[in-house]
Amino acid sequence: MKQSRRDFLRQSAAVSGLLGTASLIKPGLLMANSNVEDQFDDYKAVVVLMLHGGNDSLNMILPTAESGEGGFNYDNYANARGLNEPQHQSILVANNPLELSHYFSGDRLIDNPYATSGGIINQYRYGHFPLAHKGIPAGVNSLMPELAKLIEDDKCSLIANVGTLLQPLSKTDYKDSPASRPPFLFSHNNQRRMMQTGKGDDLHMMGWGGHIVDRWTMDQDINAGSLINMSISYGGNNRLLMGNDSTGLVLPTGKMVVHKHAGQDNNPDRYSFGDGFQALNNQTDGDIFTRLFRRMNQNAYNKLYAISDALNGSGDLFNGVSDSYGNALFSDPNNESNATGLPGGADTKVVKQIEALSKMIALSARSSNEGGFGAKRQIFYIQMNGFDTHGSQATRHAGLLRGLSLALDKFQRAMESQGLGDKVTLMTTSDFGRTVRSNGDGTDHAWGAQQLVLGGALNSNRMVGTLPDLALGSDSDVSGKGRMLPTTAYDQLCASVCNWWGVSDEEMPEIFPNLLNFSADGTVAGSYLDLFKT
Amino acid sequence: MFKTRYRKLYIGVLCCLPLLGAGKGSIASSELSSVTDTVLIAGEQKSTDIEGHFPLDEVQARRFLVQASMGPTQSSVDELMTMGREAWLEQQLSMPSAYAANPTPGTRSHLDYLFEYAQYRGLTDFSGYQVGQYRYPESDEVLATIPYDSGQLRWAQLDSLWQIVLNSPDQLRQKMALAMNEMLVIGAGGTLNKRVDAIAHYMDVLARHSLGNFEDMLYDVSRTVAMGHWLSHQGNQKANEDGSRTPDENYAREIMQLFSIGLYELNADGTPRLDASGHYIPTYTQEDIEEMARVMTGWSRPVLSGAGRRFGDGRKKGSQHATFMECHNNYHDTDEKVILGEVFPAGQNCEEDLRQAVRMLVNHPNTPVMVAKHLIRRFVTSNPSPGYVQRVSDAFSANENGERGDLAATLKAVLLDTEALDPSHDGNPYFGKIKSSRHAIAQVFRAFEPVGKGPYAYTRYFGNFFTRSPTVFNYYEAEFAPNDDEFTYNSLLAPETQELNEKNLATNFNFYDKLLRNMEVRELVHRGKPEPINGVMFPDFGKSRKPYQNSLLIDLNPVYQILLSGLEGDISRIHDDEVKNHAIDLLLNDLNLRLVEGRLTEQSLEIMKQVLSQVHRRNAERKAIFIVQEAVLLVVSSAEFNVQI
Repeated sequence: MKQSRRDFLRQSAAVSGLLGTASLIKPGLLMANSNVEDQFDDYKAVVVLMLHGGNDSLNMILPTAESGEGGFNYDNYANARGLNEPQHQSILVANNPLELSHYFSGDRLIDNPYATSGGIINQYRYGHFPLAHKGIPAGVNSLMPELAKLIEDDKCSLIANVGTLLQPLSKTDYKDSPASRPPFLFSHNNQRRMMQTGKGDDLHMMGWGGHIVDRWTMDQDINAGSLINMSISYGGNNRLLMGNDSTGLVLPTGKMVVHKHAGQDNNPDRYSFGDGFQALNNQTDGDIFTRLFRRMNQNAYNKLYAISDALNGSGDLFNGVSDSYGNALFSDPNNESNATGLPGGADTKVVKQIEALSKMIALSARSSNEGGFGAKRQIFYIQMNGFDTHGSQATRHAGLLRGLSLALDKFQRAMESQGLGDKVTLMTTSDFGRTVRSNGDGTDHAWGAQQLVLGGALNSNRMVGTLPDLALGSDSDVSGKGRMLPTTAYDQLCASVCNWWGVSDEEMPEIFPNLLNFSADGTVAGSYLDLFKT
Repeated sequence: MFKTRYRKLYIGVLCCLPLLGAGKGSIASSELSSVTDTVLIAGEQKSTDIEGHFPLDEVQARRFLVQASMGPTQSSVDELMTMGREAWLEQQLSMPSAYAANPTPGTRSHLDYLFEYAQYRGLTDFSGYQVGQYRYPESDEVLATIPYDSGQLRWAQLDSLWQIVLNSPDQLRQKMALAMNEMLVIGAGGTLNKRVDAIAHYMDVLARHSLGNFEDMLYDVSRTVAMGHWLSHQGNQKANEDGSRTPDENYAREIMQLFSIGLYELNADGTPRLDASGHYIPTYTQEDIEEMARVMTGWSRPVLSGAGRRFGDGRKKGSQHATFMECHNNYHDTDEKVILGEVFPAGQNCEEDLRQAVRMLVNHPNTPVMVAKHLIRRFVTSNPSPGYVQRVSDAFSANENGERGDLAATLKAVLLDTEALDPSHDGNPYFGKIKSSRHAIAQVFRAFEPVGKGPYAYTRYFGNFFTRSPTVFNYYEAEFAPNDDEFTYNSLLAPETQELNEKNLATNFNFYDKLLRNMEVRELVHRGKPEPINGVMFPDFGKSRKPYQNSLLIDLNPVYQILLSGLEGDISRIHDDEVKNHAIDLLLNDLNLRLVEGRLTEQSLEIMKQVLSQVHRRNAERKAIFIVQEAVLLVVSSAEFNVQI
């Protein structure tokens, strides 16, 4: 018979002087605190999906009108991208409308619209699903039928021409008043950081996610008693989740990782090692780096074991749920028999993140007596890499768009299967948009771009904001290369999502100090985008 | 008699290193504290009498080698203590290498190793290649056709790196090359994943210049096929006539933002300059980037003959990557350009334009500060005092002959500064840094004797080995500050912690656990240690292993012998608690010096003793082995080992 951890502790209590026992008891799943305010009595989560590197959103959401539409039209687009120059066609997408309903039966994809012969480049350029009947002069790239379907089914909205801004800007303001521009425009890391802080003129500030989590864990203990973190990243450490008192918990996307053979796995041979490891890291003297590392060591050890236990106990949460091909929800379509129809393959690394994320949300939303973590509010960060397509855009961007479409669809299906379809909102962000103009086989760093918001809580507006004028040198273009001056601020998008999440109007200006600059009527509410059901 | 017996049973003991406990290798823990408590006069060092001011005992020698090499070995410690720091540095600076005009026979570059390992792995395309034939940059000859998309080649490149990190005698040069790879970043992710021969060439370029001049380094780096692909100026051409295509801005931006002058103006001591209203002052504008993008046109990887080959056509099979790009002036923008107020006259070719741009950036007042901060943080401390930054940045600005950009002089200023040498850190209370997991693991391998041809499992567990940075922003942000009250309150950085999140701390731990308790060491013991081939260790057993298996092992015999000496040579006395505890003391004292320069706290030592004294095994040898394995695991996963003070 196996000796249990508890038995061992009893037996060894007398042995150990220095090895304290307080830290040895694993945190249990405690009952939720009943004093939490009524407004936080349900579960709501925000997911921020970073399209890392700067997504060329103009090849994701294509201008389709021949002319007009305030300049957001195919003529301007084709002209700027050099449609008539054969050697540049590799980054262009043809204006070829497709019928979404021909490819879907129910929610099942019965034919791949882009599965024509001629390789990945032709498929990238094959055509689009028009959104004109939704009042949008644009179409979804044919590689993204799931995204088109989500928009069709009113589960996804477009945010037009959103970017980093400190205040509303005209092209004249931009030219005449450099101080009014956001700092370090067009630079990857600084622009990401600006979106993530929400405090654009001071890039060293904490992230807006971390700021809110600080408030909700220190001022009010909304997730009281839950062992799970309010902020979790499946995409490494980043500024968004960094507050003064909180840091996003970083988890692996694949199999859960714990310190193996280190005293928590019912192997009596290792108990004294595990006790020693914890005692070593409980010391509080020494230089600041040693003390920092001890805290990191201890936190990782305890936290990973606790989460691993809960996940292991939960079983298959998505049994019987299928993806758009009718396969198991989190199967990788690249492993199915050419199901993506994409010879170069879809970039589906994000599917692993979506799977881990979906499982974590499902468990977090469940109460502790259902085996869950009993959380009320959470924010997650996930990331798709590879969008910095200065070159090879036609092959690399194609695989990424395919992967993004699959990921969004799988995630929404996962949430709906748990009854959380309208309790979770996902928003995409990116470093910046890319130039309308081509550099030959790719596009360069720019500014405003189209982003997506996904979830069942959205209202009937399928697009919010104003699409830019794509003509080179237009009032939207600040540099002559098609760098679009944003007309909606990231702060507005983020604040709108946070407001749905539960952040009050009163708290908003401290979290997004520039937000009121965008208000239509001087109120905080006047700066929100009209995105969510009331 | 006894020895034969333990060799049969012991898993992980391989023989051969001299006993560390003998001679100067051993310092009792009571002596350690008196050494570190010694009060030294700071701030008045004369370059001619460094050892006079900062005595070089074994603790200080090991501390210096943690900074200046990939990790102390007993022989490097002995050598340093005999020579003194300055003479050791001079020897490193003049060490024979594969990068001189007339390379010393027997030395090998990254490409040399790459080809050797590729041959060893049966990639027969290398049949025309002979060891030592390739020399950077004297040979422009096409040496071999590199197999496209070869996973084996990726492993071979990591093998090469490990050989150089662990075994090359020119440690200072190689550590510097790796440090510069964290500033002039390329990584084998994305576009370079299938072109690791280009990575090896790139590391050779860095190694060649790493003790030379920064301007030469930046110029050559800009011309490599590796960088051309990584930041996409390979195949970049001037704007077309109707202006619908303009030059790629990728490299133009990063050579300024990351590789030289940075985003905002700095004082020579590293503090930001502020304008009248207290804001940072940007170093360049978007217009400067657009002009710089025009400089970076006309470069193409060597265009091989054959139908359909054209400028910038770099993604075909059979292409050559381990070399420099060529200038094709008909694709270069030869009109006048103005960057940062400096005129680039019309009619210059790509090389002339690039040379002027690099020289302009190196001459910018920010560049010495950017390089100084980077090197101090990589070699010595995350939060240097402004004075330290100023002294190093001055050394970069002008060496003793007034030359700018002398990296050897800059590096000496980093390593021989009072703040680095003084055991009390010249009064900087926040001195020190966290080790990256790459450097920590290299140090562990070097502290014992590595056996094998490459720890493939490393990359499987970590993903972020040397030359595997996922983006041009390195493995972590240069100015990353952890979310920790003490660090936030004092505005302190600990950049390496960005990588050390919960997940990675656990995978690091599991790597050490697996490494130390690898049962396959037994096979090595049975077969004996194999003979090296061409001076490179290729154990026969390694050849049959899958690339993802861990085939680099460490030899724990030296520390096992120390435990044994505490048992007075009688292994059965391990069951006698009093004798055993004495032996454990000896073992921990050795590891404390060998791996942690004596920084384990008294309490840490006590805790470790308690853990080790509770190890139970009926078999005496197994118990002794288990104690050794547990002891090393406790130390390498401790906070003390993972920081460098």
